[in-house]
Amino acid sequence: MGLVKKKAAPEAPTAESEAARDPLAALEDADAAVRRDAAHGLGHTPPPGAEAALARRLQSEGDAGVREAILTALARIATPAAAAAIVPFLDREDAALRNAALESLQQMPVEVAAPALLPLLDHDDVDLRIFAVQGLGSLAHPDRADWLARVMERDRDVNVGLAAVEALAEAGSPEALSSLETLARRFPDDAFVAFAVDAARSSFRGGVVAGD
Amino acid sequence: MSANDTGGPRVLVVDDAVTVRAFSRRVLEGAGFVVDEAVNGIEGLERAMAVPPDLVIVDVNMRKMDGYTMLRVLRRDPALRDVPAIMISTESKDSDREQALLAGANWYIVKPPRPEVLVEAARLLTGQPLSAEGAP
Amino acid sequence: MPPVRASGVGWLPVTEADPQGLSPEDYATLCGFLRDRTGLSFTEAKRYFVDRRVATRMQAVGATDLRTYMNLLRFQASGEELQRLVNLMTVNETYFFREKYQFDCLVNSVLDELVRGRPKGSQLRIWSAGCATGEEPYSIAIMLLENWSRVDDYEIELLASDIDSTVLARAREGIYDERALQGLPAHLRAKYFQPLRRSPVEGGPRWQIVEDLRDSVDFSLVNLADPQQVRGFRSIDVIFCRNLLIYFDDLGRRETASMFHDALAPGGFVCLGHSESMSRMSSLFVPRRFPEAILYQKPVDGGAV
Repeated sequence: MGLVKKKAAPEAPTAESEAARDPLAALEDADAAVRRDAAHGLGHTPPPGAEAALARRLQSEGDAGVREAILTALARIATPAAAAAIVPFLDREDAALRNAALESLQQMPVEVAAPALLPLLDHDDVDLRIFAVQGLGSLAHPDRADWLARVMERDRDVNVGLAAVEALAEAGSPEALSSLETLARRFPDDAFVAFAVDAARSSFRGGVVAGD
Repeated sequence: MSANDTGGPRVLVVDDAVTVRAFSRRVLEGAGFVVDEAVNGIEGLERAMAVPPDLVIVDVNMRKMDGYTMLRVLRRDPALRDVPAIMISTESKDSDREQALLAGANWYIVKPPRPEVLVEAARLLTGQPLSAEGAP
Repeated sequence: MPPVRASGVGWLPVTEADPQGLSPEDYATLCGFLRDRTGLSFTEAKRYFVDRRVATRMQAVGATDLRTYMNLLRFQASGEELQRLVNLMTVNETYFFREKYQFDCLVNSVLDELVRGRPKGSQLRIWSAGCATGEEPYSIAIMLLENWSRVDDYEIELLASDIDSTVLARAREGIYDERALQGLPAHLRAKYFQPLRRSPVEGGPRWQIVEDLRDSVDFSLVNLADPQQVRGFRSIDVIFCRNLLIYFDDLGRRETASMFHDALAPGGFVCLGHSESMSRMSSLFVPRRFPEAILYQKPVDGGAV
């Protein structure tokens, strides 16, 4: 025993897996490894209907590896249909799942992710609006400063406004300065708001947000 | 408590928002704590394993590893299972607090955090005397 | 989206790079940004190294201050400048026993944990992903033979892969120069390498690793981005993927980590480069701290963390 000697001849190419032959069907296989293979394959070569099939599977998928394969596949496909298919998962009780879904949107091109996230800025659910701001705030888009400004001036929930401030603290746009000040005036007695607004402001002047 | 040479009890702040980390650092250092930071649950676990904290303050919604998952993993580690933890979140439903408790949190703070709440909770959970009523 | 232009009014004239380098605040800002985006971590000790490379790039793109340059890094859709900077910042050369503490971790801690409960004669499979010219898998082989007391109790398969066929050919050949061997103690060089007769055109002295070890590593051409090619790797116990994933974008890292997760047996480990972390890559692994290093483990029941 010890170190095994490698095979003398190169291995014959492995037969095409069933996942490769009919990935849409394989996505519902009883074996998680087959489902994972199918999801990875669909991400790289999506037939029509791949987005819907992946989202359908994700609804009830319990295997972590398959879930991640589905979410990366949808991010890789990156069509408007893929983005739309992910949005409902931002709302899930399962924190790991909803955060992984947001991540998939953030990993899509901005022109696909932005239209999927924008409508959520007006949603009734505060946490969805926060996710929308985090998602949009991470995108390189000419309207980014406008979106963030609008949120700081108008959203009724302080944490949604603070998500916009956070986005600006990480990557500022000086044109948002007056909106930052509006937010501070709207929530005048909050030490955290004052701190965050100040941090974002000073990052515009080339300073560092005093953190790690 | 494992107060180290350079300060008071050690607090690990785990949050993907740099404003939250910086604010917590400012407030807690002002109250005599030593502060470490991490951007998500994985980094938080790495940091906690390298330099065991006396208290963890952990956000719920983070990419790569959320706060509930981090706490569950923490509670499985023999060296870290008894570290007190404050969960901090924008969510304020009772079901959220229950979920935090079940994941292993000792306390729950709703964002945005108030400095006095952060300090008092940190003192309480690290066995420090609480501020006298009305004292700064 | 076009690259960000300095000041929005066209390219500014290129000026001399600041010979004094970045201010402490700027250095901290840049390192924080790089750490957030890539997981790469630079301490004060790397200050000169970082300064020179950033100055070079700022001059090349015509950025006169760090904030301008960082806007380019943050917002350029192609990510080309960030990739250029990262490539400059990372040391590409590989050599025997590079980051040896991770190999120590393997033979002192990880393998013993993996074989707990496995009968003698069982298989262990170790995969060096991105093996380049072979120093890493051959280093693992030497470490196993020299430093793992139970090496003869198990059947150990060493797998190695790379996307580049030229470096794979050189890996199979196993011929190395002084630079590659400098980290090896002399007695190990004597034991596992044969000096080659020098020819006038070859430059410095070279050594070839002994045939037994050449035969003990199974090299294959694999593109990690292609799930069909990675499918052949199954029930792997330890994957070494050091300083390779930093060259991928976020989605690429996430996908590759997902495929490593598929390839691993439950309870298996991934070993990344010393300044890399799964915290920037994937949700599928739990960090595990050993005395020598932090590795990333696939949950033992194969399920969620």
